[in-house]
Amino acid sequence: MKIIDNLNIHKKITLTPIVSILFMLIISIFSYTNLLNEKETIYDLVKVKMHTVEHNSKTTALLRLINGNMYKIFNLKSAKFDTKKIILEQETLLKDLENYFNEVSKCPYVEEANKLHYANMAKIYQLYKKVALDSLEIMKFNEHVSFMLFLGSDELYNDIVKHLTKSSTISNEQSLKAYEDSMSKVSNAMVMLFILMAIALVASVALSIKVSNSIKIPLKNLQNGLLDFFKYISHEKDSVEPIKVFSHDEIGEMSKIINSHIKKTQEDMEQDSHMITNLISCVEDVNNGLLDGKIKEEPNQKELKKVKEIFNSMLENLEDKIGKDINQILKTLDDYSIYNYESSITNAKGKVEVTVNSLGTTIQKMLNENLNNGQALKEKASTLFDSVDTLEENTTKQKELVIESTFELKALTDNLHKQVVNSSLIASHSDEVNSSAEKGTTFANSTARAMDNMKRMVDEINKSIEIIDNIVVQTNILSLNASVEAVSAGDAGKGFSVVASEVRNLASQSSNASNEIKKIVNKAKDRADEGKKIVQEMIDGYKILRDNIDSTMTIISENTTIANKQDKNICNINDIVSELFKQSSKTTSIVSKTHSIADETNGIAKKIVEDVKKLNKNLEVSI
Amino acid sequence: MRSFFIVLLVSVISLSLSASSSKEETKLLVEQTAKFCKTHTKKECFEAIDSDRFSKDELFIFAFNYDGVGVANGRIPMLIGKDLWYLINPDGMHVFQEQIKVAKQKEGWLQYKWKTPKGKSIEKLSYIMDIDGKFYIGSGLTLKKLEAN
Repeated sequence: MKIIDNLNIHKKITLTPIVSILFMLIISIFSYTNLLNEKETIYDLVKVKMHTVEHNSKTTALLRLINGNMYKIFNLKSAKFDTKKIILEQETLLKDLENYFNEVSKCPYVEEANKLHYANMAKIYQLYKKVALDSLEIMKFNEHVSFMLFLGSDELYNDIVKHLTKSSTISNEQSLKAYEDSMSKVSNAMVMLFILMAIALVASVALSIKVSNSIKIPLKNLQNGLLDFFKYISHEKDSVEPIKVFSHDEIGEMSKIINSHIKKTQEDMEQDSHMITNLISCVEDVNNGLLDGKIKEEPNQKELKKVKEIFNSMLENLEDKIGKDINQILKTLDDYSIYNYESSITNAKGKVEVTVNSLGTTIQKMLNENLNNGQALKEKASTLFDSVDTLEENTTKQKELVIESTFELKALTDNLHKQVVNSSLIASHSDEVNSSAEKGTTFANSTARAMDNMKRMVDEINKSIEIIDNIVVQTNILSLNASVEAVSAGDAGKGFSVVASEVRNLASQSSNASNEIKKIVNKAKDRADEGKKIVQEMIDGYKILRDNIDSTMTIISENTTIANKQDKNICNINDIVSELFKQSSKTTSIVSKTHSIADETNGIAKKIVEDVKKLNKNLEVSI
Repeated sequence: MRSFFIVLLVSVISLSLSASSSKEETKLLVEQTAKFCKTHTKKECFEAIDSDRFSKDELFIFAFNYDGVGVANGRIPMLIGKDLWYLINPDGMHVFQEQIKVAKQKEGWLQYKWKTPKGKSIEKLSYIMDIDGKFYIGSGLTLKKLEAN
C-alpha cells in the first residue's frame, strides 16, 4: 500500500484501469476457453450423437425393410406370384444398405466406441447380404432350401439389430454423460467466473478507493494547508501549520515546496509585523507630540522598507523643522495666548521651536514699540481733535461764502441773457441786408450772362464772315482760272472772260462788304466786353458787401455763441456752486463724524497706552 | 432349369423305383471320391465331382468348405459358391454347421430333416468325410427308403 502512495499520479491513475483490464483479460480468456469447450461438447452432442441416432434408425429401417421384403418374396413365391420385380428391388435395397454401411464407416462423426460396432455390423451385414442373395438364387432351384437358408440368416439379422441397439445405447449414454459433463463444466465455470468477477470487482474497487484516497487525501490536505496559508496571509488567522506530507508523489513534492514557502512567509510576516508594531508605537509617539522616535526594526517587504525609510526621514524632518516635543511648543504658545511671553522652549533646536522663542522675543520688542506708538498716537489724536474743530469752523464759513456767490451768479446770468437777445436782433437785420445784396448779385449775374450771349453771337457772326471771306477768295481764284482758261480758249472765251472779270469784281465787293461787317462786329464785341467788365466789377462789389455782412454775421453769431456758452458756463458754475453747497453740507457732517472719530481715536490711543503700559508692567516684571 | 428339374425328378423316381441305395453304397461312394480327391489336385477333384462321375442312383457327391460354402456338387451345381452356413432345417438344425462338425472328426454319419423342391419333408442320412481340413465331401440317402425298407 505504501508503494501506491509513492507512485506518481499518472501511474496511480493508470494503475486501476490496468488492473481492471488484466482482470477482464483473465475473465475473458477463462470464458473463452470454457465456451470453446462447451462448443466442442455441443458439437459432439449435436453432430456425433445425432448422426449416430440417424444412422442407427436408418440402418434399422432399411434392415427391417429388407427382412420384410424377403418374407414377402417367399410368400409371393409360394403363392406363385411373379417375384422378379420385387427380387430386383430387394437386390437394390441390399446394395443400398451396403453402401450406407460404407458411408457410415467413412463418416467422421462416428465415435470411437461405435466404430467397432459399425465395423462388426458391416461385416455381419456382408454375410447377411450374401445369405440373402444366395437364398434368392437358391429359390430358383428349391424355394424351401432357400427359405431354410434365409431363416438361418435371422441370426445375422438379430446380431445386427443387437449391435444397433448397443450403438444407440452407447451413443445415448455418451450423450447423457457429455451433457452432464458439459452442465457440470458450465456450472463450475460459472462459479469460477463469479469468483473471478467478485475478486476482480473487489480488487478494482479496493484499488480505485486506495488510489483515489492516495490522491484525494493529500489533495485535501494540500487544499486545507493552502487555505490556512491564505487565511494567514490575509491575517484571518494568527498562525499556520505546515501541510502534512504522506506520499512522495507530485502532491507530496508540491506540499514540501509549499511548506518551505509557508515557513519563509511566516518568518517574513513576523519580521514585518515587528516593524509595524514599531511603526505603530512611533505613530502613537507622534500623536502624543513626541517627534524624536525612530523605527528600528528591519522589515522584509520592499514597500515596508520604503515606508520605514520615508517615515524615519519624515520624523527626522519633523524634528528638524518643528522640534523634539510639540507639547512644549504648544505649552509655550498657550502661555503666549494668555500674554505670558516670559515662557520659552528649553533646548530649542527645531526651526519652529527657535521661531516660537524668537516670536516671544519679537512680541516683547513689539509691545515696547507699541507703547511708544500708543503714546505718540495719543498725542497726535489730541492734535487731530483740535484740527477737526478748526476744520469745522472753516467749513461753516465756506458754506456762507458759497451762498453769497450763488446770489452774485444769478445777477450775472440775467445780464448775459439780455445781451444774447440783443445780438440776435442785430443778426436778423444783417440777414435782410444780405438778401438785398444777393438779389443785386443775381441781377448782375444775369446781365453778365446776356453779355456773354452777345459775345457768342458776335463770334458766330465773325465765323460767318470768315466763311464769306473764304468764298470770296475761292471766287477770286475761280475767276482767275476762268480768265486764264478764257485766254487759252481764244475768241470763244472772250465772253467767258467778261463774266470772269465780273465775278472778280463781285468778289472784291463782297470782300469789302465783309471787312466792313467785321469792323462793326468787332466794335460791338469791344462794347460787350466793356459791359461785361462793368458787370464783373458790380458782382465783385456785391461780393465784397456780402463778405462784410457775412463776417459781421459771424462775429454776431460768435458773440451769441459765446454769450450762450457763458450762459451755460454760468449755469455750470451755478450747478457747481450748488454742488459745493451740498458738498460743504456733507463736509460739515463728515467733519462732525471725523470729530467723533477723532474722539474715539483719542479714546483708543489712551486705551492702547494703558494696555501697553499694563503689558509693559508685566514685561518689566518678567524681564 | 426345367430340364434340370425333370432330370432330378426322373432320377428321384428312378431311385424310388429302382433298388434304393444303402448306407454301405453311400459310404463306399464317398470313400471312393475321397480317395480320388486325395490322389488328385483340388481342381481335378472338384471337376470330377461336378461331372457327377461319382454317383449311384439317387446318390451324388457334394462338397463344401468349412465356411459352409459349396465348392463342388454332382447334381446341384447352383449350390457352388452359396453360403449355407446359416441354413436351418425345419427341426431348427444348422445342417451344414453340423456336417462341418462331423467332417472335423474326419468322417461320420449325420441325419437331418430336409425338404424336397415340392415341399415334401424327408429324412436324410449323409456320410461326411473331410478331405484336407479345408473342405469336406459327402453324400446323403433319403431315409424314407430306409423306413420303407
